[in-house]
Amino acid sequence: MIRFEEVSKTYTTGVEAVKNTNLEIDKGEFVFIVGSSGCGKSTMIKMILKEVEPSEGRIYINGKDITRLPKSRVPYLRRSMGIVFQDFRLLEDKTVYENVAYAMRVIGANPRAIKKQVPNVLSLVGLLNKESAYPNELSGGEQQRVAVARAIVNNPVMLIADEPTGNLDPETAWEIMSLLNDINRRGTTVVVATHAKEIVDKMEKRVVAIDKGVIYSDIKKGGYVEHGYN
Amino acid sequence: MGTISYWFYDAISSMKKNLKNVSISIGTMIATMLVVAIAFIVVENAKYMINLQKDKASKITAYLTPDVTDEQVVEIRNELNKMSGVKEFSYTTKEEAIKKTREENPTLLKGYTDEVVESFFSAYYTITFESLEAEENIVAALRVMDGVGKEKEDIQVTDSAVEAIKKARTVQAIGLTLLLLVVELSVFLIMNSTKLMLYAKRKEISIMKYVGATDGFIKVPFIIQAIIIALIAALVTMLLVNIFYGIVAGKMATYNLLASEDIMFKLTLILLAVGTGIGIIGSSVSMNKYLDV
Repeated sequence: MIRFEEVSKTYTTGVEAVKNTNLEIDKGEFVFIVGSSGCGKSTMIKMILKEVEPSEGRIYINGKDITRLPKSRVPYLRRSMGIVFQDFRLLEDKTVYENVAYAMRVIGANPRAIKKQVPNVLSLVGLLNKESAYPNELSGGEQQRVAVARAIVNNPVMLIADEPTGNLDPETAWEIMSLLNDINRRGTTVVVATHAKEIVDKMEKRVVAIDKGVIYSDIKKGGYVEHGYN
Repeated sequence: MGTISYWFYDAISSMKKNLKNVSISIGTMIATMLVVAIAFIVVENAKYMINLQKDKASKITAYLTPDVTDEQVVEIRNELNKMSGVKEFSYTTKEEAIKKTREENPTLLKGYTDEVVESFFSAYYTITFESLEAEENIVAALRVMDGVGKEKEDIQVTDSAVEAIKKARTVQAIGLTLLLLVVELSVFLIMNSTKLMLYAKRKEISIMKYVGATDGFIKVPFIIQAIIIALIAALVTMLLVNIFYGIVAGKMATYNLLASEDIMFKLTLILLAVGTGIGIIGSSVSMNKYLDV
């Protein structure tokens, strides 16, 4: 599903964010990428989204080498994945319903499909009763649920989350992670970059630990690994 | 809501939210369009006046010397035949000239002896020409021909259009320069106000990119906005121009200005083209920066 082949990324500032990394994530897996701030996990996520290009190596998504993907095809790549950010990235002037419907509109979904699908996913994330609310009327956890709903509304094959619980209290963070787990159980591959140790330990999923741009641990069913962690 | 209605809905709701920037854009566009309209009106009127002058049958009359020989008359005819820019010419003998004058004004030559009358007249060539440049060349050539009178008044250009056209051409050139400067300035101003609008929407644009929107999908509402702004500005400008042109044309009735209805249709098309052109170019160029996510 996702394959990194000897991938390195050096920014123009000279910072080596990712060094000679190999990684393979299979269909239907739930994978945590853990490490401290600046360890390179966000760069890995950005490279999957093709927001950042690797300096060396190849990245394959669904068997396709995305490092060779022309810029004009990037939107279609992103349609195959849902994305969740730490800061929710909701549109403040749109209701919960509109925020979710928006993701369907941009891909040209027909109005009938939007009308049917949006309530479905809102119900899945437990926000059907808040569909007319605006983001500023919601709690942080609820906002992140909207973001998750938006990420899965187009039935993507994978969901990428970059620090999805970073702005949430532990209890809400756990709720979001459970939601991601539910989504994974339905067959969606989930990749979560995080440094939320407690959650990672509790979930007992595959954990890829990275430090200074190097993967130093990859455990199939593990907890948060802190080796090499400064 | 389908994609196209969504684009319109998005364009209009974003205009409502950015009313201040939209007003600045419309204001800039109206100012630009007014200058474009003024320059266009000046250029069109100058063109009209040039044509008006050209249509007046301008002709050169070259009076021959009293002692001109038949050979010289033939020589002049041959020269005129060869000369470029000469449309047509005719030769009038002294006798024909006297006869013509007597017919046109029977009392004018009364009381003068035939000898005196003959001394008043000379044979002449009447030449019509093709262009302004030709007029100057023909006059210069005639001045040095044997048999043609050497005094200044021996060669007369009736209804000379040269000066009038030169003036009209200067006005036309100034109008065109003004037009170019203003269009350039307004592209810059529209780009700036689009940038302000885009800045307000930068978060939305980056989110759209993350959820897989193509650049085209993102651009369309902005282009619709640019077209709406251009339409509003063109409408207001046309109203203003219609009112003021009527007043100015009324006050300058002696200058033979074009009638309002002869100008307005073409001007409306030009304003719409300039407005949408500036809007689309301005917004597309300033968008590229925000689309690189």
